[in-house]
Amino acid sequence: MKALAVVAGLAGCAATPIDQLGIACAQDSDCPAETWCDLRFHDDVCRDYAALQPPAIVFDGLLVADQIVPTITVPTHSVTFHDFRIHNTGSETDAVIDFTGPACVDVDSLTRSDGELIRAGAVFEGQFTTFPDPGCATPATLAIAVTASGRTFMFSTTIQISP
Amino acid sequence: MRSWILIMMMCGAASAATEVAPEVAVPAAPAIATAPAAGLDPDVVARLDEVDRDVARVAPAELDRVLERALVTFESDDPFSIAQRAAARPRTLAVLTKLGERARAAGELVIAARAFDARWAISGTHDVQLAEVLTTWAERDAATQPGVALYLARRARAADPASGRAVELDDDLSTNHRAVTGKLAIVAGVVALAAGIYARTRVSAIEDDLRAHPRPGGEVDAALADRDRYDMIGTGLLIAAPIVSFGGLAWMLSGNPSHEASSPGELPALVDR
Repeated sequence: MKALAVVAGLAGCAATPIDQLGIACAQDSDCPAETWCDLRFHDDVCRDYAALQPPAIVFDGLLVADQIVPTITVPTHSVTFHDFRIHNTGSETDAVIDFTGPACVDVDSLTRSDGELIRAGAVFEGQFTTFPDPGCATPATLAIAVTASGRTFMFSTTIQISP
Repeated sequence: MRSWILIMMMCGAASAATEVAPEVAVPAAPAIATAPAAGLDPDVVARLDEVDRDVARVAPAELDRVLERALVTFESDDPFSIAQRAAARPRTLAVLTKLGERARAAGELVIAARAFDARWAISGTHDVQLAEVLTTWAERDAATQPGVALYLARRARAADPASGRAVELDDDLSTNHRAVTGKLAIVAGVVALAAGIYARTRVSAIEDDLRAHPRPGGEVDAALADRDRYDMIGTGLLIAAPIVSFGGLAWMLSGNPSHEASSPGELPALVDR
């Protein structure tokens, strides 16, 4: 019995699991296999996929009256506000959301520039503005870049521009 | 009270008087001789003659009885026998030699040992034959009666200090044969412990280094491989170290001779009464 206790005690000296080791990293390629670089909240350490999944952002679509719609129509020569929805299937994270469009469309995200906190499995609804120039081709494609924990998730959607 | 003390003192004096052997006095009888007039007493000569004849005549297994008769003069404590020991010594030694050699030739090891042992005690000089016989006896019984064998080897060593076999057997039976391997195991355990601790410190150093700053994944993988190797070796050594050390200690202690030298019933052959 004592021998078993000694063996168990020594087994406690076994090397720290990689997930708890805190291997410093700046990107996923700095981490060993089966791990990812967790840049959330300035942790900057490698995490085991088996222990914790990285953030995974999914763009649900544009919202009108709280309903997902395939596209929206925006007027020219005026700033209009629109809603969108994303959700996070990974771990909690801060996400920086950027909208870009054609040169003739001035589009801005109204989310926090230092990132919006999106909890694991949660939905986030944000706003963006559009200000298309007259004569801008329609439909216009908007690119949405969501950056979370050093990972950039790219999406696109289209808007109709009314003259 | 004084009467009681007086009575007790008188009783004590009376009992002390009874403990003293009464002196026998026979009026008009000649004094009891305490030594023969000259040389050996005829009875002693006759006994030694008889013993001398019996040594050649009786069966080897019966020589023990003959030996007892040969030693009567040296085992009796009466003044008459004691006075004759010096004169009887040469013939007794010769008879014991003859008896011992015959017994030895016949394979009666114990009787031969007793004869030579008595000769050694009477002569007071080193006895090579006794050492040889005792060593043979000791070697025969070493496995079954190590305590007796140890006594025999030491007696043989005393009889002939130059006897290499006796010295070797004495040392062999007195030595812990597991001491060297046991000590080696203990040292190996300590070395394993030190090596295990070193390996564990290497593991910690690698882990600390990995935490310190980012580096390419290939370097991380190599460092982790080193860490795992040190970890496996270190943990194994730390588990093995106490097992090896305590095992060696137990092995060494189990090898301590548990027997003490004990004389067989047949020795010493000459009992000085």
